[in-house]
Amino acid sequence: MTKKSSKTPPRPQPNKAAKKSAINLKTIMIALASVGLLVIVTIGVSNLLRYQGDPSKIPAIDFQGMEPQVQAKLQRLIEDVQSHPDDAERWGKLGMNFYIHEYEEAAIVCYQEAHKLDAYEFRWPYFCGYAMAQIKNEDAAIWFEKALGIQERYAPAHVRFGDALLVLDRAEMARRSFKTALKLDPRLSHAYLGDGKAAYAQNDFEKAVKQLEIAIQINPKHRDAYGLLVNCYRELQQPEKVTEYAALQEKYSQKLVMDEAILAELTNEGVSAYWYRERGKAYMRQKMNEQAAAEFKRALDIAPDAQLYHDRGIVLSRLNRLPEAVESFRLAVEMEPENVPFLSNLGTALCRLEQFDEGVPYLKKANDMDPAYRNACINLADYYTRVNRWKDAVSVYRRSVKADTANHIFTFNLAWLLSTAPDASARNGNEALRYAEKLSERSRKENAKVLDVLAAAYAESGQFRQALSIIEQAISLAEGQSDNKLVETFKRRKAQYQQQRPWRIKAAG
Amino acid sequence: MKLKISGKLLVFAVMMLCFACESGSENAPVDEMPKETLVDITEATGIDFVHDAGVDSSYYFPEIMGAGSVFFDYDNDGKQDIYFVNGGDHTGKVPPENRAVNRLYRQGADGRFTDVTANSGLTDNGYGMGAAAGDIDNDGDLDLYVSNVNRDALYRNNGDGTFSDISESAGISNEGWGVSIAFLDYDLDNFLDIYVTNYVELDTTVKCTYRNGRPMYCGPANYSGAVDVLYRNNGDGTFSDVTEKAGIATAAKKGLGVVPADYNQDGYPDLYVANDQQVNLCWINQKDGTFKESALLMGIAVNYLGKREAGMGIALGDLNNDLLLDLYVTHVENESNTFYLNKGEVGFTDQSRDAGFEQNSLLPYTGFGVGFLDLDRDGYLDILVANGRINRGNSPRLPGDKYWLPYGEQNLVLAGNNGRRFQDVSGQYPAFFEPKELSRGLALADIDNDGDLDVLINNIGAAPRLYRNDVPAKGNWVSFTVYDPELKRVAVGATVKILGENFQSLYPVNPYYSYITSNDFRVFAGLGDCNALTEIEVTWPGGEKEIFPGSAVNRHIQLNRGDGKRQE
Repeated sequence: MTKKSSKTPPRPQPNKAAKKSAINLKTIMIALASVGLLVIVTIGVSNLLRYQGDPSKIPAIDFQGMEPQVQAKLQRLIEDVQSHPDDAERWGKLGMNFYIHEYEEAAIVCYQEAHKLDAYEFRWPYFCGYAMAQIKNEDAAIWFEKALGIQERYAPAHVRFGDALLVLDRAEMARRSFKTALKLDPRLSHAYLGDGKAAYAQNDFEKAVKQLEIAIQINPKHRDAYGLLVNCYRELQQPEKVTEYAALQEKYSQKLVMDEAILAELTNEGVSAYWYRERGKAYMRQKMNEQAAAEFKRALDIAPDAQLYHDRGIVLSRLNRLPEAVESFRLAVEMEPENVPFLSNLGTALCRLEQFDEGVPYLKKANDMDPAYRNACINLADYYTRVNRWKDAVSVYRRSVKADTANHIFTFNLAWLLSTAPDASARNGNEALRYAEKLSERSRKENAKVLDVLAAAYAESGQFRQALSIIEQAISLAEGQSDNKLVETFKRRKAQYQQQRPWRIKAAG
Repeated sequence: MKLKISGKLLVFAVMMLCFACESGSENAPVDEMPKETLVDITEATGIDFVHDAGVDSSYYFPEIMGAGSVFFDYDNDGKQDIYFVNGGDHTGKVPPENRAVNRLYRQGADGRFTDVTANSGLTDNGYGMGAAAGDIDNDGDLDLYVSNVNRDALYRNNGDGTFSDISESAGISNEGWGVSIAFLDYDLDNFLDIYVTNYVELDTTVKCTYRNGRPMYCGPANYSGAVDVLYRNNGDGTFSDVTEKAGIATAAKKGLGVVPADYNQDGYPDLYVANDQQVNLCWINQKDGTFKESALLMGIAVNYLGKREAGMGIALGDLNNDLLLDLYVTHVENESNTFYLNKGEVGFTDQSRDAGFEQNSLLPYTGFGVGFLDLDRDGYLDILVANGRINRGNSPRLPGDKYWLPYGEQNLVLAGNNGRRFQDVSGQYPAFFEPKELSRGLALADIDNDGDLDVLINNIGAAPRLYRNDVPAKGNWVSFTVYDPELKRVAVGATVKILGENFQSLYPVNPYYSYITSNDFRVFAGLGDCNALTEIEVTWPGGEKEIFPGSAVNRHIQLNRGDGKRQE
């Protein structure tokens, strides 16, 4: 750098355009710097102000008496939140686990923290509203509304929002919410139910009836819809309808729960015997037997339970894991030695393993205790037929028919054996005819298999003309149903009857 | 965020103001403190009964459901006595002589109660639930039916201060889990028959847990329902079990409360039964010894949304003074108690929302015992509810906490306003409201014969609480004994219609309401500013009406059948 003279020469003056350009540049520079500064300040301030998560808000709970694995999981999740208090997902997870293990209030606190940390995640306000609705907290509507602000196209959320509004007596707003749900999912029966409830609350009984009728058309198991229809028709003074729906209300004892995949996320968090059992039952209903067996085992490892041993035995039987099934049934019977289904299923599983000496006495005991219990009766009679004890099979069915006269299967099987058993001493044509005619009357001669039994009974009692006429009707019915296999079977019978010979079951080899 | 801070500051400021207000009230002179008007006189009157639930670690379901009591004047001395039902050991490990027994307390002339169980013959030691008094033999004294988890018992009053267990000779054989009891003359043969609700088919092998694995009392959903029992009084000291014949056996529900009344106003007594988690039942008398269930048709089976609720106790009375008897059913927490308004021929309507019972402050309670009474005599019936949880929830248990502490809840007083919105005035009665106990039975009787109803609350595993009603009267009152001289007993099942200046109301003559209790046989009416009654009409069981002349107020009146003017 050269030393400047003391008299500094005047700085060259830029020309006008250059001056203007320099000003612009300067302005831009200043503006950019300002913006940058503003951004930095904003980020700094927002970082300072941004909600950091407050671990002191983790609700204190009493662990006493709860199952150890539940305690362990909750403690682990609490520690997780304590070490990462600004992580929404961790708060949410803790909330889910509090909720699923019956700490609804604690769950609500966690969901709210999660929502503060991540305002764009749908689950936290939705689960918060859900937990609040379960404990009738009036703020549920607010939280469902928040959830809808994040994900407005989720129909069940509109239903839950509507239900929460109904609790607040805001029927008109609730109706709008149910209608939105129906726009998004026109087959959502709970939305019709909700709209029916809202219309009822507004004394619009005709509208309520219309919506409720649609709800039960979509899903006939809507118990609450029937109850509400009863109330509507009472108001509309239509007593016949009241009686009709009162009967249906009685028929469905379980409340129909809205099926939501998102809620399965919640239940899958449960680690208590209760949840293993519930999940096992759900898998069992869906015939997901492997999963059911695994869940039942987890539950049983925590707390032995006769019913659960039995249910596990059932799913293991379905999986053909018969030795394990037998063990499970055996444990159930040890705990409840007088339980008919337990005895029956143990006997059946043993028989499937061909351990008849041990299995049959269980079936017999179950059948003696309750002749109307279907599985024990059928499996015991089946065993007798397999070993050519036809009279014993007939006498099992006779007792069961007496115990449950309305049971079609008992009557059907008894009539068939009385008509067709290879052992003459087990047959009784007249008795068979009596039962077969009863069955035929009940089915209004529209059931091909019943007609087949009736024909066999006629043949056994020597009335071959009637037997032929009836088996022809059976053939026509089977043909009408395009059941070729049945048609062929019936034709073989017809040929037999044409030769004045009754049909006979083949004796076991 | 900023707003939130401001909000918090605001809340803080308001709280500070409130604290300031409170500290101000602490300095108020003692004589300005509100006077206790439902006065706890349990100890002062000598009642030293303590309920024993027989708690062990098995979470035996009946521990959480009982037990009740009976107000009755067993010795006809004009003073209400009390019979307390007890629980006790259910394991069979305690020898019978050491088991907790039910207790009879006699009220003396000085208003104090003395335990007279020892010589009374009333030492029932089944695992008790409820009891009710009724004159089964029309001999002028009150006999007693006791419901137990196993075998019920019937005691005949010998008329000399003692009772005899006549269960076996009378044919009382209910082995179900008996709960509430009602005496009624369903066949109008002048002899009181007996209806007993049976709860569930108890199976002690069933174990339940919270979702976190903590053991809990099982709820009714874990058991099958049980058929209630109807005994027909043969008039010769024996009863016939007519449950099947009468059609009652067609419903195996989970019965708790029962109130008999003529619900369809055809002159014959019907029955209303509250069922837990199931539709309630209304057995309409077919006048031929049978009943037909009609609750759904009448609008009293489910709530306004068509939902079945956990029905516990029932109260019956004319809440809006329209000369029709309304119903109020208590329920589990998070379900509102339900107010079924009687609309006459069209049946009942659930008015719970309009009456304010669905408000949030009333939802966290599990109601059992319930009774209507006009506490302040303003002419409108008020409601008392005994509350107590059925599970302990997840509230932490601290060392030294009593077993039942987490189950305790406050009881409620709801002020009536002509059937319109009821007001929660519980806070005005601190002795009644503040104790957080596990209450079940609630019984009403005028123990001091001062013309108002006093209150008895039964608590599980604790002492009961007897409250004297000292609530200042806002109006006049009248009370009645509705008596049939031929039958030598109160005409249970009758109704009394009171007409006065600017006042009308209808009262059932029915001591069988609430839950596992029975109550005073007399009728008590608050009259507000009505200064004179212009007419009193009694409808006797069977439907016959009789008009009695008007009367001055603030007095007790005995209405004898035949003394009035019969109506066609």
